[in-house]
Amino acid sequence: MVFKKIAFGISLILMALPLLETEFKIFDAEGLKGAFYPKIKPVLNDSDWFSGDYQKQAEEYLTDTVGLRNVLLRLNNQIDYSLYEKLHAYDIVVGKENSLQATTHFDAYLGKSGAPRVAYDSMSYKLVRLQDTLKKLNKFLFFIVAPGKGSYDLERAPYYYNTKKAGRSFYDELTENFDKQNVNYLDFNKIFLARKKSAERKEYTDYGIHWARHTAAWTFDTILRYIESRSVYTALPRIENVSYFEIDTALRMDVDLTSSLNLMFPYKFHHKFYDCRFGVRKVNDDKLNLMAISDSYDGTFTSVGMASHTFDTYSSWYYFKTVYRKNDPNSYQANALDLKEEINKANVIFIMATIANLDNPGWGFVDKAYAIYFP
Amino acid sequence: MVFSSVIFLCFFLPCVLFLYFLSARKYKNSILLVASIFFYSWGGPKFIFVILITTALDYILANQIYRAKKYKLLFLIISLSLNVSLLFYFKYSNFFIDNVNALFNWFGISQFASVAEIALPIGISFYTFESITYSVDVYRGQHKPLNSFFDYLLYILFFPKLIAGPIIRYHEIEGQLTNRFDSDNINNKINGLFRFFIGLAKKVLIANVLAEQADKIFELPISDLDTLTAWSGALLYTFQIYFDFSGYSDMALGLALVFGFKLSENFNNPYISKSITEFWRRWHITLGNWMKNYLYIPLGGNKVKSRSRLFFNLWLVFVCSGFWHGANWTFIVWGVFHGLLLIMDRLFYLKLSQKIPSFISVGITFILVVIGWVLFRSETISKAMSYLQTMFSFKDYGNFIYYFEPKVVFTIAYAFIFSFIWYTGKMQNLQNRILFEAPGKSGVVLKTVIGAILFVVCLGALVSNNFNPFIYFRF
Repeated sequence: MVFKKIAFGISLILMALPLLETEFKIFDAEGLKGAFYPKIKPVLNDSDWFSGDYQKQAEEYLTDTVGLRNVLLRLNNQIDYSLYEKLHAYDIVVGKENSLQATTHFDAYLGKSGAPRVAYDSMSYKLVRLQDTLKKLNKFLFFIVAPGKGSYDLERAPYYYNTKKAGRSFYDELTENFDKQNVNYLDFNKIFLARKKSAERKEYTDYGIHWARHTAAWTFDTILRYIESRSVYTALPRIENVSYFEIDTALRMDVDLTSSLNLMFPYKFHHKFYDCRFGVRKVNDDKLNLMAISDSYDGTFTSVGMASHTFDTYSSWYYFKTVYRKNDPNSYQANALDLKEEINKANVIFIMATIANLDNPGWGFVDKAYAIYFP
Repeated sequence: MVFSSVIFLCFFLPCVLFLYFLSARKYKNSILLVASIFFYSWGGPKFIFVILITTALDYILANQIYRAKKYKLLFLIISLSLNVSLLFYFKYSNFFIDNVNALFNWFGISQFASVAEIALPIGISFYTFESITYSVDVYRGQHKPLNSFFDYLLYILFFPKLIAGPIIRYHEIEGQLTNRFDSDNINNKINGLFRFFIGLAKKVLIANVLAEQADKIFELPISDLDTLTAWSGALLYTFQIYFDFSGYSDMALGLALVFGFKLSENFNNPYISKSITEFWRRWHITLGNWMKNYLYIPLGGNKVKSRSRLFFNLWLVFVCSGFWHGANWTFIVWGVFHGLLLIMDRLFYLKLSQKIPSFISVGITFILVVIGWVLFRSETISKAMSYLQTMFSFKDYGNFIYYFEPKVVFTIAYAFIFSFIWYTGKMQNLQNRILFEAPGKSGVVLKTVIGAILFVVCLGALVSNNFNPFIYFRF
């Protein structure tokens, strides 16, 4: 009898543990990674109580702040991952060959992402007028379509993901408009797919959302050659002797999809990691300034050093929101800078977006720049 | 507040359990009553007044029924009218007005009345039926009315069974309300808590996972459905509704047992039934019993003169049972469908089923039940018909695989196993031993460990997943 009472008591204490932890914070649990909106503690009043709003908000708040939540959530994530290969991080799924994939990238490529946020025909028109105007000022403006892991790695989508094309994608619509209106653009999606069969190594990392380092190296060289072929800058540096080598510890950007999985145990990697070496051959001593308006895909250019070795000055306009400059540890808000002055300083300007971000290419840059030159 | 919510599991329940176990016997019912009022007020802050007032009226009327020498029937009719009108007003008035308006419109007459959206008090279908049993049982002389209004209030509001049953007839709980403490022992507490955790796991780990997928499929436009997807959706819902509702019933029965109450069973492995008649002896048993005792028998039951009257009574009971589930033609048609199947049982199928291998009759019954659930799940009759048409049209199977990630596939497998594993007598005995027998030392250890694991795993799923609707709350 005593034994049974002890067992029952243990069960009751277990049930009370989250409540005790909420009140007394007994354990020191590791925090959760990733972005989430914390719930606000509701204030009790008559109208909210009788409308049921207070109860709804209180339940959400208590679910969000209950003691041991982080441990319980990690446990749930670990069970789902270990038993079913299911991940609880927005958009991330386990693909074939133990790769990690982002469904938004697949969706965008397959035309499942709805309507774009800008009118492509009007944006293309503005781009053409801008590129022609800037050309007269010896500046070269062009657009780069980065393929994204979803288009390149489509065959590694999980079996339960429908890879049939659902309709016209942002990519289809945008490139069609670019072609029609003669916008300067470099379509890496086409280039990647053409290279795919003959490529020595996969162009994308297994656990990251970005292209691999060696890919960034030849990609940047391709960008330089494109600039040479279309602009007055005909003798740009060359990126040569690109080679890759195995490393023991993953580089942060190569495993960025694992950063917010919130598992109980560290994520187990099944593939090897690689870094790359490359050489830069300068043809002349021209000091050129590059202005890049891009999503995170140009991060590899800066972190690996292609941009800093080939351009004298470099500014990276991250989603046209935050600006990072070469050899400057500070960052700047894009809307706090004088855009006309920044454009004046640049010799080469590119807007780069991966297919998943083509719903709003340039993130407002085109309209702002157009307003400056065509008030 | 649903049982499978963090607020219930981590805040409400531990507080109630500790207060209950630490208090003296004379305060235990009061603690349960206060907890039950708070529990209901949390989900229906306005409706708590409705339930308190009608319960008080019912209590007074039942006392009048007992004491009156002349007008017993009159008081009973008043009590029944009160409960039926309450149910009709909150649950069926919108449906009634909509249909009358549609009829008027059909005849070219302007509308009968405008529809003001009336919110449905949670659990109304359950507690009005329980109130009716109290008055009718007192009228029939099956028991005396309770001396204490608060004991009666506890019978109606007792939170484990308040909002989704089981429907407890008053005489089943009468003695336990005032004197249950002799049977209130540690074995019942351990079994009760274990049953609660089993129910929680059925709801959180199986029903919720299947619900998400079933909803996706039922929300597809009919033109996007193919035969395999349609069958998958129907099967997912079939398992979802069973694990959802039986999980809730397990939690209710388990919790009640922890507090010393033995409530009637509501499910007995319904999907292993060999006929629809047997299915209804195993599915929502307390509703079936209520319908039998308070509708079928008053209509004459089996003791009617003609077979056609017997069939009509049977059919009518199932139409009412369908309508009880919701104010929608789909529920009525579901009731009609089951009523017709029961008539076919009586006409020939019960005899036929004895001649065919039992696994085949289980399969046939299961498929009929699945078809019924499509009627039950669909929003409109026309959608149900189109859905059923797709199920039997052998349309190509273009998309069906894309709805099933590994977790869903495994969960369907668990649902299938835990629905049919009790098919043999041996397994049913094992199930009874696990759930009802006093555990030995090893049994206690197993139940405590398994219960703890299920609790932690379910809590993990709940804190990381907001998708947690209960099906039976709308009835």
